[in-house]
Amino acid sequence: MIADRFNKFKAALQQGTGAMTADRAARPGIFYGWYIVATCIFVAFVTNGARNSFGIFVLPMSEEFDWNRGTISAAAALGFVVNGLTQPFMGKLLDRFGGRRVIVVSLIVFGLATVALSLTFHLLFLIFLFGFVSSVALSGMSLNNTGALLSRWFRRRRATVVGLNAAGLSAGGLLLVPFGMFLLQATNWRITWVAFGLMVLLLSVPLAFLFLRDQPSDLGLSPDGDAAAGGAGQRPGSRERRLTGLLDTDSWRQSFHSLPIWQMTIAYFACGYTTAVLSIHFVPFAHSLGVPEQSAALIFGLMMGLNIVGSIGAGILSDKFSRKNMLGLVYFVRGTAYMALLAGVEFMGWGTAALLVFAVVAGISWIATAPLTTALIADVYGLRALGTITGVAFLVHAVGSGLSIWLAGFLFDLTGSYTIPFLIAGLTLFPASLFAFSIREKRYSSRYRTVDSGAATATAAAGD
Amino acid sequence: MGGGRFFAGGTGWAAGLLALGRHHDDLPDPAFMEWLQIQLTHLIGWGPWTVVALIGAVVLALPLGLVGFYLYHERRGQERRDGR
Repeated sequence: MIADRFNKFKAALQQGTGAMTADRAARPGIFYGWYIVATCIFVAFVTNGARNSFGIFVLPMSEEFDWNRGTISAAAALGFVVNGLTQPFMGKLLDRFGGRRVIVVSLIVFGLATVALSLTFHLLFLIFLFGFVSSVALSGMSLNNTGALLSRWFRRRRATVVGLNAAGLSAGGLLLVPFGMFLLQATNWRITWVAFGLMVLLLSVPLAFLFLRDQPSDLGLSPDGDAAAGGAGQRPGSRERRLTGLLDTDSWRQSFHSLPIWQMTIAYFACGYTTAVLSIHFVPFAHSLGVPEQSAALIFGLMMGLNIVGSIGAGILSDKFSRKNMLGLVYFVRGTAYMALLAGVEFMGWGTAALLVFAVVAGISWIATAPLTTALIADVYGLRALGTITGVAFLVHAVGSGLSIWLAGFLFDLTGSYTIPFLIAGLTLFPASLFAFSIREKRYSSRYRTVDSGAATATAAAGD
Repeated sequence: MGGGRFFAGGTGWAAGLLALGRHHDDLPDPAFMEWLQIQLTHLIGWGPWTVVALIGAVVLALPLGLVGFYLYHERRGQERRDGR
């Protein structure tokens, strides 16, 4: 019943104004997948900007309704929990119904919920809309889901495009949060919520509706714009077609019967553990070293800005070299940065200089793991259950985040210092690095399995 | 919790919960945002509406630019095919 309705909806979308026809899309020119990439970047940019701006509403809403900050933060807290928990389920929906429908519907719900936040009159209203409705909708167009969609469109440049998508998240926070701050200063919090909601509804929804397509075959295309093996327009001299990986599956449970997903997910747990502890405790840690709070905040801002460089750079490099080696390297570099920071602070007595070096190195590795992990999961387990599998990985990542922040706070209260929490964080990254390095990518990844057209023998495309 | 005081007033369990998802959905530190706004205002010396209009124009230009780019290439492709 539901599936029938979705199929009718899909047909209606495909016949919509401006929809691409196979004939148009198939002709030479810019590969249509790049329009998908640009749309996903914009969707991430706007939704993450709107979402991250919640912090600027805390003070004015608290003042108007006489709420304390802890109370209003409960809405955000619930939102993060709901967002983390619903990732696998929204990924499952994407695997079943396709990225276009899930993302467009999620955007509409997210936009309407954001506009409706302007009508907030009670704390429960805020908690329900922001903490539940908006958070579930956000899961529908999270990096997890857009990454799964992009993985269907790109194979050779898979990590590059997911990295670009992740950079859109950071750019949204960098540009739209100041936009919200100044709009709030010029008007009030209600108008600012409406502005964010309309930005989603009037800009992101039409763009997603017009450009997003579930997979290249919908337009008669192949991933990366290549022609199908033996088909018209195939690259001159190309005689290769791709095989699926040995572990290709349509069940996320099945994927957890093999080693690589455990290696990636455990490493991802360490990733969440070591980034969340920084998010919360970096500024107070710097303050405890005698670094002025504003300088610490500026250094933290620099670290966030370097996200963009790291995310795109790691994606591009991993499309040229081994993904698992890049992933292992990112974890190793971040772990080394933690150790160098502690050594600089504890033994050399450095303050600002140590933080600055750490910020640069750690900032570059901050979200670089996301495109690498998504692309690697897609390469190893295929595309059929990708949304669900990466959703589970994101959930584990979120658990690592939550645990780290609690443990770091607990240990700080116990010891009066951030040395032990940061030491633990740094130490978790080296096993994570080993887990990543030890993934048998060459054996399991579809990236290394090709056959000559007409021949049946699988060959490795490149070494580990 | 030592770190909670810097984060939207969240303390204890709330700070822990708030950490979930921060890797990809970071809430800005209010102290940092307040400081940033002061610095930006001081640096550029423009009123809030000017900044809003500028950033708004950038945001509006992104989807419009993408649609325009697509239509331009559509037309060029059509002309190329007609030429053949």
